[in-house]
Amino acid sequence: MSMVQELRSRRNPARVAGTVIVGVLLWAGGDARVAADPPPVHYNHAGVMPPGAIGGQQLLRGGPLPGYFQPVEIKGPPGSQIATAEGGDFSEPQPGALVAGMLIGAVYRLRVTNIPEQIGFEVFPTVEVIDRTYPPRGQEFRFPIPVELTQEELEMALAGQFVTRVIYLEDPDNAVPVAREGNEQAYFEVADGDNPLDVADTLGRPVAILRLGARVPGPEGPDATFLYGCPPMVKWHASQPRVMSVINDDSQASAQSKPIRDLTPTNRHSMRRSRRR
Amino acid sequence: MNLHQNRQEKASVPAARCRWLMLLAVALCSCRTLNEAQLPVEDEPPPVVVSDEGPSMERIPTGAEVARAVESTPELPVEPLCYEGMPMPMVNIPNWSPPGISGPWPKDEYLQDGGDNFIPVNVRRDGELQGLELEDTVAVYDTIDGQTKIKPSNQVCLYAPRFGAVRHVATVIENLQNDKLVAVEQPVLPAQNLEDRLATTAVQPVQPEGGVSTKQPSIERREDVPTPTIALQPISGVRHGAATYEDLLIMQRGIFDESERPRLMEAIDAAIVWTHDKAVQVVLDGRKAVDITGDQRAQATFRVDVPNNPCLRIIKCASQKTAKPGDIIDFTIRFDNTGDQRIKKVMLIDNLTTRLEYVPQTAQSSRRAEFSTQANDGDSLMLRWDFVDPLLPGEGGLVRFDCRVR
Repeated sequence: MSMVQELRSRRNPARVAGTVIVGVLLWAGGDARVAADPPPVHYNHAGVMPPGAIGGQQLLRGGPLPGYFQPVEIKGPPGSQIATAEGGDFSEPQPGALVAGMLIGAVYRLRVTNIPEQIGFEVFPTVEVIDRTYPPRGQEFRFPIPVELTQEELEMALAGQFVTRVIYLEDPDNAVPVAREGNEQAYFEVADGDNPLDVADTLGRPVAILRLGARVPGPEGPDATFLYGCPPMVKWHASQPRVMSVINDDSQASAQSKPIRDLTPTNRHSMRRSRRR
Repeated sequence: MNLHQNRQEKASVPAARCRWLMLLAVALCSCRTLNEAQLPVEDEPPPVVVSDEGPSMERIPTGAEVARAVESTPELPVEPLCYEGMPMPMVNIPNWSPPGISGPWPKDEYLQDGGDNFIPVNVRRDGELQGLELEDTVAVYDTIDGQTKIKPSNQVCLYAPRFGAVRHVATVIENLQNDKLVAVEQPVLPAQNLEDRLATTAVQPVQPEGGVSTKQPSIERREDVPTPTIALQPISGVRHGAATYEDLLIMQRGIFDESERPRLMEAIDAAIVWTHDKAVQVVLDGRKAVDITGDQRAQATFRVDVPNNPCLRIIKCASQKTAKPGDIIDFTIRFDNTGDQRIKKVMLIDNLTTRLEYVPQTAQSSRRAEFSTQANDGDSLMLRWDFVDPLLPGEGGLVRFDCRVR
């Protein structure tokens, strides 16, 4: 055995102690990292937080959330019409249910018109998707997140009240043994001092937040702040199941720029070509 | 020294050639332009056609798929290369599951039925079953030597998410309530007492003393004396600990608001449903979703190593893998005597889970059996078939029934 090998084979007490200390530090650090992981539920979130705050923090938790267009079905009372924010303004209102893929963490402003018994009044709710579902491949739009705008809540908003509706995915282990058919969505109501997000956490997994209030755009029409920047969405045409439109796919286009209606990818090409000229 | 210089020169020649090649490649790439005929026109195109197949639901297309769809559309002369630089492409990550977790995921989006979960099913000496929980599907039979055996079926997983909502309404009624509390102070104002004192202590001949009495500083202190508003404080403080089903203003603050009465009736109904007792009734086990096929089950039950080995195989399957509330699912349970001896008193039990509701008059059996139902803890039914005839080796049958997804 050479001299070097003999020296290497010897156990240096200082080296052994250092290894032990490093190991302990790594173990303690790893344990602290685990302890610092965010909890799986929204303990630190309040349902009255500003739109976009909860979904934005959800994105920080990781997972396949960024970039996924979660299908959402927005239904109003019979006869009402719903319009989405597209290109700095609201689109043409369409009756019936609206199915669209929405980004998680973004806030989508809607306009509800032709409300029964409230003709002439408009309500501008917002929808914020804070989590996604994992349906079988090819059936994403068959199982959208239902967001219901009830006549009662629309009238509440017109009366100056602020309604927060947290939609959650029910835990099958704690399922309420009642049949839910049709368009009616069961809901629980919490008191003023309670956090609806906490209650939804106990019942299942919160996936979306609907907010209705008396806020209306300014006299000059909706601006970028009011529309939350018109985040991109994928519209699903129920009458033509094979057709989808990509709306607001340019995140750089602010609502204050030139209004662009129905910004399909082909519209984008036209804009680019015009700039080249 | 000369040798070292030669080596440096030899080494620098390939490097210089590489730099020239890179510059040439950059120059060639920068000269690439689009054909004018391929540029898009500026008319308003129809929406993007994603698929030409049937009217079935399609998944969300990615940015590349949208580009291909536009390219394949004959009436849209669009060059897909123009899509470069598109911010935020539609990223589709379907059927994602965390690393290391297989099978249906996440658990809260699937409805499971079948198998023997959590507590194993046992038969007591008096014939009563123990450990039969929600979602359990088992068969009980007797062998020719008097033994009672239990065979569970496989699990069936249905993608059937159900959504609920929690509503919070912030109103200006709170401010109105404060106004009401201020109004409560008014009856306490001792104005009447002041007049009485003035009347009793007024000394008519001594007029200046009457001016002293009008100051009445002590009377002003009385206005700060506890009023009914303080008496309401403990009641309003209870609301922070109130449960959902106590969401009534009259319960939390003692103030009955007539305007909220009709819309709180629904909350009351929901609160009645959401009692703790009923929540306990529907507690199920924490199983992970496992996709079991009949082949796997058969592979586990067909092994017969020694003679006189009774064995019963049960396979449970559903008509579809996804369902929405209100849909009707057809369940079929196939049972076969895969052993080498006759078995008798075969009893098939399916304890339906909470969200499955048995459709009456839909139970069928290929063999002569007595069908009965019994309410279970999940506010659903326990289906039971008692087969009359024994099962010979190689014989089998099936039962069918329909369930409505709640």
